[in-house]
Amino acid sequence: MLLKLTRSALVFGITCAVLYAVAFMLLCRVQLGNTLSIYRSAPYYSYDSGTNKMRFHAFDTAHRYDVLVLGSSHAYRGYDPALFRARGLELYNLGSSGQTPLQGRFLMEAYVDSGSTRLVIMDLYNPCFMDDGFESTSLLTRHVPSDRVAWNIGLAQRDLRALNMLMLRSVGTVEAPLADTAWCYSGYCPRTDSMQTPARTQRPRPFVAKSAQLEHFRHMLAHCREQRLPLVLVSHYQPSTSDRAAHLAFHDLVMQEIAPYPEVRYLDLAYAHQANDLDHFYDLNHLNQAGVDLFNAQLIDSLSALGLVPH
Amino acid sequence: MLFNSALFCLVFFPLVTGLFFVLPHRWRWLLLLAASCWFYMAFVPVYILILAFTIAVDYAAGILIEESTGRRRRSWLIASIVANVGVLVFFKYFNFLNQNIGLLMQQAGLGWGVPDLGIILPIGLSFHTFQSLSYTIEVYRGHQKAERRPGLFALYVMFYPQLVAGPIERPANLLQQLDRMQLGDPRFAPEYGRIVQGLKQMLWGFFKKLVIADRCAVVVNEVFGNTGEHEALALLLGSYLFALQIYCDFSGYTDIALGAARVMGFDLMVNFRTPYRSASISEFWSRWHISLSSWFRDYVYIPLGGNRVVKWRWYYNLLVVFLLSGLWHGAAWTFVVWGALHGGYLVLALVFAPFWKRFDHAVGLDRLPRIKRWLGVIITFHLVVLGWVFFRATSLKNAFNVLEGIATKAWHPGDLMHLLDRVGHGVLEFTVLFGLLFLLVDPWMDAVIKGERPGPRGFIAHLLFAALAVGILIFGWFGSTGFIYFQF
Repeated sequence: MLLKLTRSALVFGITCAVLYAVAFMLLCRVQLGNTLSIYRSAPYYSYDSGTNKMRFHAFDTAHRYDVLVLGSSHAYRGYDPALFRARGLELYNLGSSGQTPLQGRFLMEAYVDSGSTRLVIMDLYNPCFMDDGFESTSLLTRHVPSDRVAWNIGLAQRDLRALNMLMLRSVGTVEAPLADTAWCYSGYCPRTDSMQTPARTQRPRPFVAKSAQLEHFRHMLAHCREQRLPLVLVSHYQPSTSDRAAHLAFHDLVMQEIAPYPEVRYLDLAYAHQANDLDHFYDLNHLNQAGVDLFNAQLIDSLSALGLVPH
Repeated sequence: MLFNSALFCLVFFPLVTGLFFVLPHRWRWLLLLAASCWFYMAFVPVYILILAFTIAVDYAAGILIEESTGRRRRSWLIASIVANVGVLVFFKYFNFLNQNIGLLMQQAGLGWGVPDLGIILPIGLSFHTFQSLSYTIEVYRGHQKAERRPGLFALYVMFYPQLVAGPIERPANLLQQLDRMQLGDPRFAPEYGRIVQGLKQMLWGFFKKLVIADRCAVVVNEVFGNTGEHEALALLLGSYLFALQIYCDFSGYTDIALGAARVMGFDLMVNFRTPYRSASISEFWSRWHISLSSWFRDYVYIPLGGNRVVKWRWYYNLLVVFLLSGLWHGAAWTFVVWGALHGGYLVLALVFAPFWKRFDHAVGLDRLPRIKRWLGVIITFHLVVLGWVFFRATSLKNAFNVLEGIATKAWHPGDLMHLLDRVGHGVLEFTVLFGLLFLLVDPWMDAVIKGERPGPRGFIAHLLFAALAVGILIFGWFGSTGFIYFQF
């Protein structure tokens, strides 16, 4: 009985694998309207952004960058390489949409070179511990050039959909556009528009960190210590309408997590700023260029006060 | 624990099933009971105490009923019913009653300061309460011997495959099978054909849930959540898709439950028989949630007199049963209206039966039974969909907004573009496509899964079920919610 069951399971498994590959290849080639049918089959295939692809392809692994930034859209919209260059530091922004510690961990292991990187900045705010990170996995499994990083991120997601993302990476034919109007330089994508009307105060949401995200965050901290990488955690400016209680809970958690790592600094600038909601943000919580000017100036001053960047 | 969770599929089910076959038969009840506790406690652990209370009360009541006679026997049954219904009323209906009394008091200009209870409804409360009640009633009627082994009785109430959303089992079926398992009946030994059939049924259930129901839910949630933004066609499509969603969600759950039980050798009650192919509302209720409708038939409708009474009393019995059925589903006026609608349909069908007979004869439909049947199927389906609008709506206002929108707003296909924009292109097209394909395939597949007709064999069978598995993998809607009927 057991032998028969095992044999049937094997035949079934092989049939599934062949059918899966055939179905996937068909979906990646047959168009419905102007779109490949795979993108119409489920919404998670359609997270598309040329800037994310460009950022990782433009990154020169042989080049020496002083400062590398990891994080979500708040990272690639909030850390201006030009402002750091004015202080003699070459910064590259490795932030990507919805990036969480799950992705940051593998990006750090692959892209941050302990020999040349003077400082790693990880931009953090409460949703990056609360989200499952699927949006970012979907993007990065398609856009990072390194297969190893893509597979590490995909497998760490522990979600069947990530298997489909990795399959799409393997057999997909349509490339995301490399040019993007938002692209600027060194991974930075600024916005110059402002919020037109005041946003409504966000409804308080209980802050519940996902254990998987915390686990990846701890890996990042351990990796930095092992590789002797100077790591600074930064919380970007938040508008006055944001959920302050959730941020405070998040702040406490970060402090608790980094307690065993005194070499890691946490600069929480979320509410320690002079920016105003209408002039310095372009939406509910993203800084525009005017906001970035303020934020980066304050950040660089704080970093130099800590002796992490030259005066 | 959700059937559609990695924990169930990768750990719980293989582990429990594997251990079930390895353990000597006299220890299997303990394994299943422990597994059922684990399964239930994955939701809100402390609520296991409610189950323990129900089990303790009905276990004792069963023995006391059996050992007593006359009025005393009846009193023990009433005590069991009061305890079970009391738990149900406290956890499920207290806030509903409290709010409505508060409103009435307000209308009368009186104050009502009783606050609502801040509690989460225990999952599957109505299911296991009814299952437990059926035991004491059957013991009272003398159809069932009182179970003296508390562990086995607890397992009857808590058997994990059907614990949280049915089928609502009867002691004559499940308790008898548990008894045979204890005695070492060879049907509970591993058997290739039965295991494969059970796994196929589970796979079909997962397909219905993950590919059809959860996809439909995206469109349905958008439509019912923003009734003001959608035109007639989108509202109608949302209503149709909810009919498909609830069927695939609930019958998908049932297939997983029946399949998981079948793998171990248990045969649970059939709960669905392609209900949307019913040509009348009474036929619909013999094909939809059969375990609940037969429960109400045996324990409410027939004791009230059933149809062996004067006409007006018969209609009254039907209305009472369906109002109770509506309330069983949820403590909200939407469910009451849903129940009343179905009761009303049945009463009207009876009242107008002679008229329909004459009408069929006059237009010649009685000579065209196939056409007559299909007309009946179409009409019945639309009556059921009308009921589903109330069942799905968040409030009566929400339901009337949907119905008013369908009746009064503009009808042109361009309206669907707005819905497409909201739910994402592709999502809607694939949902409708899968839904139509499913409706075509379901009657055949349902019969094959239940073993009522021969299915494909050998490699073709592998291919068919591999296609289902691949369909789930590629088109499945993962990371979503539990099953709709868990809330009941």
